Amino acid sequence: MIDIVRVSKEYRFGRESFFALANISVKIEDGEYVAILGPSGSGKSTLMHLIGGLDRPTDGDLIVDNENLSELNDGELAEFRNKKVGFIFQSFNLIPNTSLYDNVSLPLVYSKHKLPDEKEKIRGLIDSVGLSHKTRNKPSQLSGGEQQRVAIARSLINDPQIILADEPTGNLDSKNGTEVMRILENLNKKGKTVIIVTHDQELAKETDRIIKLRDGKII
Amino acid sequence: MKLLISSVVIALKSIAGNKLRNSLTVLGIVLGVFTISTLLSLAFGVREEVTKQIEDLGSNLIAVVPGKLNASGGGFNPSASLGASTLTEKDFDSIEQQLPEIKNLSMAMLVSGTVKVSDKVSSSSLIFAASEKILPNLNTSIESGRFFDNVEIEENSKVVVLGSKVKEMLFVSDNALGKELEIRGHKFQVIGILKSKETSSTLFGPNLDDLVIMPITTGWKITDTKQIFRMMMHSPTTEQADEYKSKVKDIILTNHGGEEDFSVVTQEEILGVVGDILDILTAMIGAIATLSLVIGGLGVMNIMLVSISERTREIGIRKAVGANNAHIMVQFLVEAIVLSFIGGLIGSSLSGIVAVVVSTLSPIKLVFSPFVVLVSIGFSVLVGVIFGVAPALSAARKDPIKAIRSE
Repeated sequence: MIDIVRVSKEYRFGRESFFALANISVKIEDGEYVAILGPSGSGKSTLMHLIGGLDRPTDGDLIVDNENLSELNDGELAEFRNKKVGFIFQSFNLIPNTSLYDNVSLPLVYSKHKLPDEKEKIRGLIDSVGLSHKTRNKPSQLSGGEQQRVAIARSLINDPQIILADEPTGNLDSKNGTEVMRILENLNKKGKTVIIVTHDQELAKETDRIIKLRDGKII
Repeated sequence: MKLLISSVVIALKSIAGNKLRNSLTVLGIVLGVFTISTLLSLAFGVREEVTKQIEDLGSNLIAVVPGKLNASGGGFNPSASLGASTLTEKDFDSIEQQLPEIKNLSMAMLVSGTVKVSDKVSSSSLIFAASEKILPNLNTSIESGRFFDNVEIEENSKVVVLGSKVKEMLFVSDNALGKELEIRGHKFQVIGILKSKETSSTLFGPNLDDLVIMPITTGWKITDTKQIFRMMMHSPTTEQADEYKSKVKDIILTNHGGEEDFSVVTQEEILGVVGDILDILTAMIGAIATLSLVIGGLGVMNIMLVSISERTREIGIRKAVGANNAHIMVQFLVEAIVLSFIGGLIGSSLSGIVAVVVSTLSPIKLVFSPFVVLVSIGFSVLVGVIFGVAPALSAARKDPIKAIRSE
């Protein structure tokens, strides 16, 4: 479960300060399919970064899977990102000049414990996103849709409960976009908490619940 | 371990991805390591050569020199031997009588002056007056003619034996034997020529090819001073060198009324002193060469900073999937080390080739030992660590969100 309690994120620029998130409280249960909807500058990406442990709130508590992220040190936060969440970005964010296989297995490099059936798991995931014939290809040799499917496979390698997707279809044509949404929906059906961050109302409507943000507040 | 292997793999990939740029960086290290290992090989070569020359004199060589070389406060005082000598003919006779088993007992003095034959003058020659058994102590022998004998010593005969270079200078290719030459206004007859030592221009002793040797008594007479600036001898066996050193010392000490105004040194001690000097030389050369490696290290640092700024987004991605600061730090540190290690490997290989070529084609001996390889590659890795830390730290400290959004 994700429990966001009176969370604020303040950015300071010299004497000026700006609240990207202002005193937000919201709960997301395990297995929910949620969209965080808002225009650019609404604070939706900031919220995603906080939930994913990429950033810390200025104020308030963020409890994810019974852990208060505000209390974790940098190393523990890195381990949290490694184990508990999977990120999917608008621009895919694969590592260039590195094979599809190595991109999918990247989080394992930073895992403390070795998986017993590592190779099978990587191949299984690549297979599940329909790319088993391109294991050795570099990202530059893949289409946008294929790259996003690699990113999805990578996000699942450590079997996290939460999938955070930031405009996952933003850089894709509608056919590939639909395909990616279908995969995310299936992941949700298998019990994952899937959170999609978007400015696209139509896309948000495909989820079960919409959290609307504007000027750092939930509306 | 997994992290280390993957860091090495990432490093190699990244290096291979920018071949030209990284080659130039590696070149800086190559030059530094090449300089270090070549200079070290040279230093070791010189050391081996000098040591060999000294050992050629025989490790049972014992020398008595005037003055106390070991300063009272500890340390070495070579200027002590430069004053007017307190060694006497009596010291020589006492050793001869009390230690008849000692070999090649001889004494010598320096006679300054020039050697003339009609209009030709040799001023660079070293004029020695010595007793008849001096030659084995100098590790040389007669090429043609003969050395002077006991009778000639007793009679203060004006005869000389010449080093090959002196002979060539004064007589060119003529037969010098029986010819006359002039030293300090006295006519001398040439009775023998020494064997040429060619390459063995001893660094820490006279060049034997420049020697002019006359009987010691003649030397005393023409200079009107009864000086002995050195006595040399060999103990019966190598093992007895130290034993005879103290026997000789006791004899002279008795003669001098207990005053230690002389020193008895063995070959081993001379080796020790020379070794100390060579150590300093080696250290100095090493320091100079290290400087060139530091310059190479700055190149590595520069290229690492460029590489990190180009790969900021990659750092962000890695952090998003669970890399902590230490992981990122290790990755880039390994990359810097791999870069300089490759440079070290190439540099010391080149130096090895040069050492073999130079040693075969010239009289200079370069000793390219495993130690040299170890030091050179060790240094290159050290440079990688030192100059890689700062860039790696800057990479590790990048904020993941800013990094992942950078282009």
